[in-house]
Parts: sequence; C-alpha cells; structure tokens
Amino acid sequence: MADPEVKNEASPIGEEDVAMEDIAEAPTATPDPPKPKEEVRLEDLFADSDSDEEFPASSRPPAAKNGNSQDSQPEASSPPMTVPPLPSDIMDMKASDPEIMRTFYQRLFPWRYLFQWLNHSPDPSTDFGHREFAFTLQNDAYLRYQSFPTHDLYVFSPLLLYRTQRSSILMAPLCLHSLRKDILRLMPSRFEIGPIYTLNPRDRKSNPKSFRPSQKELCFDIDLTDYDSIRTCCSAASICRKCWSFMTMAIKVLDSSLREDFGFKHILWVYSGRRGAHAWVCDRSARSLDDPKRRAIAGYLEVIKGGSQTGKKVNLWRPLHPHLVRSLEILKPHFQEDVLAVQNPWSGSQDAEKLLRLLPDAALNESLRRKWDYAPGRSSVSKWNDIDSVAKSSGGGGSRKLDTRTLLEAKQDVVLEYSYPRLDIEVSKKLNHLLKSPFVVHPGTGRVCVPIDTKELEEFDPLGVPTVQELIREIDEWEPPGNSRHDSDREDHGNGKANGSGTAAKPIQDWEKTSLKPYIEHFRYFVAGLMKDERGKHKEKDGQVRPKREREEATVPGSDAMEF
Amino acid sequence: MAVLPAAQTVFESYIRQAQPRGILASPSFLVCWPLALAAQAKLSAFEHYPLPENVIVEAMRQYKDIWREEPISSANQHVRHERHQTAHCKAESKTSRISKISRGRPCPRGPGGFEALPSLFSHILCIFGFQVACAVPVLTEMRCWLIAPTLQRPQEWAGFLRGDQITGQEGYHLQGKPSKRRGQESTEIGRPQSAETESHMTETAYLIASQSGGGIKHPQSTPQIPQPPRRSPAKPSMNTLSFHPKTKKRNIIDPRRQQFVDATFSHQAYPFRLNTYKIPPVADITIEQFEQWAIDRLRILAELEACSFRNKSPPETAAHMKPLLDKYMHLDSNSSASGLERLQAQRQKDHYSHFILRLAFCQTEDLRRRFSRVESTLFRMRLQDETSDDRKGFVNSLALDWKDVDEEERARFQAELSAVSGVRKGGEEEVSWKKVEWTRVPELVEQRRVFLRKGKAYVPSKEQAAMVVAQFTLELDKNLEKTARGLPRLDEDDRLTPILNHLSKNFITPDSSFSSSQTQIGEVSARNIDNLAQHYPMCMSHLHRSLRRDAHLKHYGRLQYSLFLKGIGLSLEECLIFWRSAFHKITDDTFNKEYRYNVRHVYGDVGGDSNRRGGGYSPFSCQKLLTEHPPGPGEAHGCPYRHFDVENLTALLQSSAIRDRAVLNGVVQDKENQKFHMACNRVFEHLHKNEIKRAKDEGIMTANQLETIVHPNEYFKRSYLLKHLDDDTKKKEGDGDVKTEGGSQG
Repeated sequence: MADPEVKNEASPIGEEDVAMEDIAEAPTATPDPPKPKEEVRLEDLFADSDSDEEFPASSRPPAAKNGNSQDSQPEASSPPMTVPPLPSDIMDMKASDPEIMRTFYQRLFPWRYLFQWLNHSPDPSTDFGHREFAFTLQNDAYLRYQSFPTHDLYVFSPLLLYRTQRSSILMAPLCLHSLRKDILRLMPSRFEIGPIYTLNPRDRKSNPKSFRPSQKELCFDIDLTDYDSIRTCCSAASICRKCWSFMTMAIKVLDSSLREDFGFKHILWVYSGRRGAHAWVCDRSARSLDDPKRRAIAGYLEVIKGGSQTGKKVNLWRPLHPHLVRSLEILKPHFQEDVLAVQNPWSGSQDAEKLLRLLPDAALNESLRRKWDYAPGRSSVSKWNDIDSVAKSSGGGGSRKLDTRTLLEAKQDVVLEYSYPRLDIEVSKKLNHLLKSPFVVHPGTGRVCVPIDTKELEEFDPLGVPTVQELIREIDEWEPPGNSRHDSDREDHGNGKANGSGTAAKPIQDWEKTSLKPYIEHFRYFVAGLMKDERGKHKEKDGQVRPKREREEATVPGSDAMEF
Repeated sequence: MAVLPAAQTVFESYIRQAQPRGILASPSFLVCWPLALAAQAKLSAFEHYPLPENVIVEAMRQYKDIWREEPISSANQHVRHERHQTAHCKAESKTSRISKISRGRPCPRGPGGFEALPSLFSHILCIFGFQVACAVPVLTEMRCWLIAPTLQRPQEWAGFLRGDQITGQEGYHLQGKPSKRRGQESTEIGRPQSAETESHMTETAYLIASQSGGGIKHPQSTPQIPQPPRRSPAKPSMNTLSFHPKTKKRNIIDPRRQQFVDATFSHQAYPFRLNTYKIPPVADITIEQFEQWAIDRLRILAELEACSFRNKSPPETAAHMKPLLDKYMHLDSNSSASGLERLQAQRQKDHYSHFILRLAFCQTEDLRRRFSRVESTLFRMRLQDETSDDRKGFVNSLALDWKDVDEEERARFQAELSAVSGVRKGGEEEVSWKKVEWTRVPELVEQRRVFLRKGKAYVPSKEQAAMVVAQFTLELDKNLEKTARGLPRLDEDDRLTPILNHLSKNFITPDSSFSSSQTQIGEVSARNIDNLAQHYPMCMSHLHRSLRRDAHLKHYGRLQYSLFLKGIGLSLEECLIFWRSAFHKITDDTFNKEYRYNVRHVYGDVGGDSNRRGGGYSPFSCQKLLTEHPPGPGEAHGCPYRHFDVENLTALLQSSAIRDRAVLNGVVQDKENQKFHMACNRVFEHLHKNEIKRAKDEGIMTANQLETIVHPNEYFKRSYLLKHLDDDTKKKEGDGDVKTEGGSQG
C-alpha cells in the first residue's frame, strides 16, 4: 500500500506525529497487559494499515477477546466459533479482501432499504429496474450499465408476479439477476449508482437513440481536499475532527438552502468513507431535473469560484442575496470557533499575507502588516479583531477615507471564503454522473459510507464510523439476550423478514448486532419517509391525470385466483 | 373445463418445440411471457378460459430452473434473438409493423429487444389462441411503457386486434398450427363457430381495453385501419410548395387543436412584430422564396453567433446587427408608417424563414443547440428593441402562468426582496414581483437574481423579460426535437432535402472546423513539445508550465491540453508518450489505469461509436474555454485572461517576457472590459510584431489570415508560421482553415 494510505490510516489519532509513534509501537504491543476495549480497538485500526504484509495472526494482540491474557495462541484460547475467520484475522485483513466483502454484502449490507430507496416503493418498478449500477471490481476493472429488476432473489409470489407484470419489469427481458446476487458473484470493491434511463441499461444497444438518462437524484459532493488552501491541520486525503468541522458547516449551509430555497424535503447526507460527504436529494421534483436546471442549482449554491491563480475567490453582488445572508448567519459562529480559533489560518506572516490580499485598502493593509510584524505569532482571532480596530484608528489618521461598508463587505467575503461550502460542482451538474452508493465500504479506509443524520450533525465523527472489519467482529462478539445464536446467524440478509413472516419471534438481523445499527435505522427512516411521500404523490397523480390506473385496479377481481 | 387439455397441449408443445432450437437454453423471456400471460389470464377473470394450474406451475418450474443456471451475457441475448428471428420471421413480418404488412413488404429485421416484443407477444397470443382478448390490455400497456417513442396509434392496435392479424393466421404455420386449427379447437371445446368467436372476442377485447383505459378505440368506431399520414397523395406542382410541416402523430386530444383541420386557414395574422413561432406556416410559397428567406435568416444568425464568439456585449451586438437586420430581415413596428400589408409580408418572411431553418437545423444535437441559442439571442434582442406598449401587449398575449406576489407576501419578505432587486430602501415601489416555479427561470436562479422560497422564485419586473426568453428557448428546444423526429418523412421530397442539407452545412461552427491537416509544422513529437511551447498561447503555456512544475494536471487541464496537442498534429502514440513522461511521479500501472484511457478517448481511439467515428473531440475554441468549466481549486485550465486575477495575470505575462507597459496595461484594460480574446490577440501581436510587419510588407499573408484569433490552435499555427517565415516562404502557408464566422454566404 502506498504511503498516503498509511498516513490516512493513522489519522484516527488526530495528530500525525502521535500516529507515527503508535505505529512504531504496534508490533511490540503483544506482551502488553490487556487493555480496556476502547483502546485496543483503536490500535487495531492501525493494524490494517500494513495489512498487505502477511503477519502471522499470532503476533497480533488478541484484540477481540476481552480480558484474554493468553496472547501466544489466540486461536486455541478463543471459544469455538461457528464462523471461520477469527476476529483477530479480520482486523488484519484489508477492507477490500474478498472474504470480508462477501461477509459484509451477505450479512450487513441493507439491500432491502437500498432497493426501496431507489425504487420509491416496495413493488419493483422501472425506477429500480432501469437504474444504472457501476461496479469497480477487485482488479479495478469498471463495469458500467448494470441493472437489476430487484435487489434480491426474485420471489415468485403470485402477487409480485402480478405487480411485476403491471409495472413492466418482466418486459425487461434480461435482467434476471438480482443486485445482491451479482454483487456477491463479482464482489466489487465498491459500486456506484447512476441515473434511471429511459430503457433498461442492458438493452441500450437495441435502441441507442431513445436511450438516455431520464432521472437521477440531485447529488452534491464535498471533498475536504478542496479545503487544502485554508485548512492547516491536514492536507490531501487525511482528515481529522478539526477539519471535519468544515464539512459540518458545509452540510448545514447546503441543507438549509436546499430545504428552504428549493423546497426539497428528502435529503440524504452520506459520509463518503474517507474525506468527504455526498448529498442525495431524492424528491421527485429533484430527480427529474434536467441538466440546465441542475446547473442552475449548482450555480446558485456555488460561491467560491476560481482556481489557484484566482486571487479573490468570492465576488458577490451587493446587497447580498438572501441565501448568502442566511449562510453568513449560519457560518459566523463556526468561523469564529472552528476556523479562527482552531485552524488559526493566518498565524505566520506569509499566511497573513493571504488575509491582507483580501482586504480592500492598501493603507490599512500596511498598518496591519506593521502591527503584525511587530508581534509574530499573533493568533488569527486577534488578527481578525485587529482589522476593525486598526481601521477605526487609522481611518481618522492619514489614509484616505475607508468606507466602513466596503470593509464590512470585504470581511464578509473573507468569512465566506474561509467557511462557505466548496463543492465539487461537476457532480451536481450532470444527470448521468455516477456516485458511490451509500453503505459501500471505502476500499482504502474500510469505513462504511454511512448516512449522516443532520439532526445530530455536530456529533458525527468520521473517525468513529465503523470499519467493515470492526463490524464483522462485532457480529461475532454479539451475545444474544437469549441463546438462539445459531438461528440468528442463519437469518442473514435483509429480506429475512419478508420471507420468514411465519416465524413467531422477529429474528435479529446481523446489522442490528453491530454499530451499524443506528445508521441503518436512520436510513430506513429516511426511506420510509420518501416512500410515504411518493405514495401520496402517486395517488394524487393517478387521481388527476391518469384515472386509468385506478379503474384498472378496481376492475381486477379475485386476486385470490392468483395463488398457486 | 374442456379447454384445459387443449391449452396444456399447446403450451407443452410450445415448450417442446422451442427447446431444441435453443430458445430455452438460456433464461429467456420467451418463457416468462407465457407465464405472465397465464397470470394475467387468471387475473382478468376470464372464467371461460381458465388456465390450468399445472401449466403455470410447469412454466414456473422451467423458468426457475433455467434461471438458476447461468448468467446471460449480452452476446447470448443476441444469439437467442437471432434464432428467434429466423424461427419466427414470418410471424414477425405479420405483426411487428402493421403498416409495412399492409403494404405487403417483408419486415426488415427488427433492432431486437423491445422492438421484438409485440410480435413475440402476439406470437404467444396465438399459441394460446383463445387468450388474445384478455392479453390485449397488457399488450397495449407494454407497448406504451416500453417503446413509447415508436408507439403506434391506438387505432392501429384496434385494427390489429380486429383485423387480419388474427383471422389471417398464416404467420403461425411455422408452429405447426395451420390457420384452421384454432377454429377446430374452438369447435372441439364447444365454443360457437369461429366467426362468431371472432366477433365475440373483439367485443371482449374492446371491453377490457376500455376498462383498463388502454386507449384502444372500439373497433367499430374505426372502420378502417388508419394509415399513418404519408405525403399527400397529390403532389403539388414543382415550383410552388405546400408547406406542411409534420402533423402531430398522437396525443391529439382536442380536435379543435388540430391545426390543419380547417383548410381555409392559410394566412396567419401577425399582430405583433415578435413571434414565438408556435404555429407552423401553412400557406404556399415558391421554392425560390423558400431558399432565399432561409439564407437571409441564416446570414443574421451566423452574424449573431460570430458576435457571441467575439464576446461582444449585448448593446454592441445590437449595434452591430442593426444594419444587417434592416437589410435582410427588416421588421417594422406596429406604429411605423408602413402599410399593414407590408407589415404582414415582413412578418411572414420572418415566420417562414424561422420554420425553414428549424427543419435544417433540427438534425443533430449540436445544430439544435446552436440554433436555439442564436434564435434566443435574436428574440431577446428584438424583445428589448420593442416599444414598451407593444412589448406589454405581446407578453400578455403569451398567457404565461405567473402569479403576482400579493402585498402580504411582499411585506413578509421585504428585506429579502429588496436585496434581490438591488434597490436600496425607498425605490422599491416601482418593482413588481411575479411568483413562478423556480424551474421556469433556471438562468435567473443560477445567477441568484431572484429570491427563492420553497421552490418558488420571486422574479422582479426587470427580469421578467428574461423569463419570456427562457420560455421561448424552452419551447423552441422542445419543438426542435419534435421536428427532428418528424423530419425523416421529408426525406422523400427531393426538392427540399438538398436545400436543407445545404443550409445546415453552411452553419459551420468555429470550434468544430479546426483541422490541422493542411499546416506543415516541422516535427511534432513528444520530445519536441518543449520546443514548440514557445508558440503556445497563454492558456496552453500555463498548462504546460503547470504540468512541468507539478508533473500532473487535473482532468480538464489534461483534456484541454491533449486536445490542443491533437490539434497541432501530435499523434496518439506520441501523445501517450508525452503524458507518460510528463507524469513522471506516478507508476506505469497508475498511468495505464487512470490516464491512458482518457487520452485515447480524446483521440477517438476508444469510447462510444460516435466518438470513435468522429475521431474524438475537436480542440477547444476560445469560446469554449471562456464559457465552459471555469477552473476550480488546483486546476490550471481555462483562459488566463479570464480566469486569472489581474495580479497573477500580469505575473504570468511578465514571466513570458512581456514587459512592455503599454501592452500590459492594454491587457488589463481588455480584461476589465471582458474582451479576453482582444487581450490574447494583443499579446500575440506584441510577440510577433516584427514578423507580422514583414508578412504584411511582403504580402505573404493576407489580412484575412491575420484577423482576430479565436482558437488556441489558430494562435499556435499562426505563431509557428510567422516564426518560420524563412523556412517556408515558398510553401503555401496559412490556409484560412479556421473559419471564424459561420457561413455567411448566399
């Protein structure tokens, strides 16, 4: 694995130097007395940084076993396991290891909710059937234009058959695979979701003229690498809690604008697994936007423009647009705390030049520069305050009249430049842009791309997101309240509930045993809300525009005749 | 229940027959269709014809077994489809294209997939003989859902249902079921005689169809299978031309909206100078008029486009266009002294020429986009030019669905609204607000010129013109696409097609017409690039330097640069070598994985059909660099004159050995006036001033060849030629193969 990977893995600790220390320590950690569980877990995170090397399993601390003091032979000491890979092995394995991926896709991935999310109803329809999926295989081959009638094995319930027929899934002749089955077969290291096309993507060659994307969620992508010029704690692929606050601000601003300005309701924020976040705006009105309208939204939200050679990146009309006024209100406290105090972006004199370049008045800049040269190492907070105080004092003395309004506007621009979301705008502009699916494992970090609950946005910690190895270990460690462990192991995948409706007790699914649970529950909640809305709209639509459907339903007698 | 054994036999024999042919060798929709049908049969409560349960179970078993076996590759699909085609081509020719059949021509091999479904379905229908009626609604719906673009008219289906398709039966003898067989069956199972069955079934078909709202007309209500409207049977005389743009094929709900029902409707009245071109012209014009009007309008549009390429501001463009418009497309206002007749004639020309060009420019995506862009510009220009009374009248005549913002709302959002309108406190009274869906005014949203609240855009009065234009563009785009779909029918008219093709060919875009074929640039190879870089325009030399500095470029930078290199004649192989050696910090593996494909794609070596056929993209023009994809953080592409700030631009120029204060100031001035191409040309002229002088003096290059540069490759080529005047004075240099304005010829 390349160097940056290692760095990135080390980031959970936060500061890089600390991380290096720990890595050095890791191989010698074996004779250490058993640590409290939390600590061990952290350390295990580093373990997978050098996972390509084939360390013998015994050299690892018996991480998973609480209070197990026998370190030389963890296999022997562990209780008999029903699942072959041992916890300590799991923590050693690479996230993209086929075995890990298989277990993850088989037991943890929320297929059913993913299906419902993309299908907008429990009945299979073209919303899912004509949706493009793209797989990145283990050998980095890239498979586009995959499509599936449903997420899982096609259950031949007569009802479903009837429904399918109506909703033309059967008309898509060749999609007899299910998404889950194909993923388990091909074991992609990640997969992406594309648009819904006018035809089944697998049949695109048969009618290339009418094959075009028709719908897709409106997506946004924010990546912390774009903040490199203003963040001081990390750079490139690595992140820490400090710079994640940029993401928090960005999500707040975008979310409020999408909801209040555009009136969207169903916005899913997803952690991208390493250093960014995606937004999926799933409202029907958002899904059917064409490219110019997407571009319009992107332009509306984009404030920071220009490349590395553009000096001032924020250029706005005055008076400020209401969207920007609101954004400023949201960003101000964050700017004070998370940017000025924590990031301290202008501490050096070189960095301070950056700030001065954004200020409008040469005389003011000169006096500020003099003042700051005099006190090297002055913090950004003080420097920020200095602007006003110096402006006030020098405004009277010497320099030409400095308009307070101009200065205020310049300061607003600085706040925006240092805190307004920096979007990867291309993702949002095109209907047919592919974006990584939620709940996929990031192959580099092993972290699951979990949804972010905007209600608890401030508490979200990207470094606390479970890795796939941890999750699998958690399943193994899970103790049922009762004792029906083996039963629950067999109830593996997401639609277990749908099949086994006959069983008395609701089986506990694997994801419920892990720390993935809150995320999946949030997702389920989100999907349910979306489907409810969608159903309402369907009814409305049927009632007004297409009474046909309703009548047909009414004239279909004796559904019981379908049983066989 | 007597029907059961018969049905079962048919089904089983079907399966048996199909199997050896390999139809069932892979999971196949041939198998699921009977299944679907069976289920449907049960559902629609056709108690007369219940399908035996064991048949369904058998079908399911077969289906599942096969399904479990193997994945289907698309190749497999193809083979299977082919087989199906050969086995049932007769059946298909019967059913897939009704119009074709009725003319007795064999059906060409269908494109496969969905196209084949209806025939397939009807095939199965016949296997199930008695099932026809109840499967009809399914059939129609399927048809609607799957092949909407080629949807046949419901009447045709009705005809199909009633007509020869079912009674004729010859199509099915391949199945070993000669036409009489079914009649016999029905007799056997105690149904009435076949003729009666027939009528009964049609009746039922109609019944069910109407219940499900499938849009099938009652057979009796359409006495004949309606032919799709072809050319009018009587050809008009050769020099007058009946101008009948395509009639709408479907969705004619309200007969009053059928535009051509009323034959006396031949001359439109034009109450306003402006026209949204909603109603196509119907009067006769001569073929000479047809051509002349189109060419006149084309002149205007080409000039308009040239203005936009030169980055002229709207007032400048208007000033530039005024004489041209007066000459070619003069439109008098309502208040002018000219008589009504003259007004009408002018407006008629405007109206007709628009529609002629629509025909000429609807064919490709690119042409459509450009046509709609310049037409919108023209419309906007005229709208602004219009007197306020006329404009108001015109806008009101459009009946746009916008709502006034009432007082209460205005008071509620007062702060926001005044911020958007840009009026400081006090002047707000004159502004009136309209409320529309934001999707109606995407441009205004993009520039944050409207206030948004819960998906509604509040548009101030001064932006309302933009809304009208947006609406115009929207409808034009839609109609262009419709025209494109209808155009093939014109192919049979050998008088119009050549004219139209000629017109569209003359609308050449500067960015697609660059070809480096005729220039002789010494050695263009990966090794030589550094050497050639001295002839680069600023945008490319900035890219080149960034590449050398970072050993990397981001996507758009690579794209822009690769295309430029392609334009100067660097071959694909050399280009790959160039990028490989330039990205010296990465491994071969990474390069091959992440970058090689892109470069090849640019050259049209890989990618979709159209990409490969077209030889990849063409090099970006200045217009494109200026308007599309402004560089983001860490990106080096775009036009430095536009995307750099003044300080960085000056630094860049100085580092390129431009120290002349006059030039630098001129560039800054140009930048402030947003005349980026002027800045670029200024730099070019400065860097090549001696050579240009010489070239002019010696008459080597004509003034035409020294006109404004609007393409980076043109910059390079001209620079190269000028610097190598000595080498190839004898050669015929400087072909003007970069067209800078669209075909303003006539």
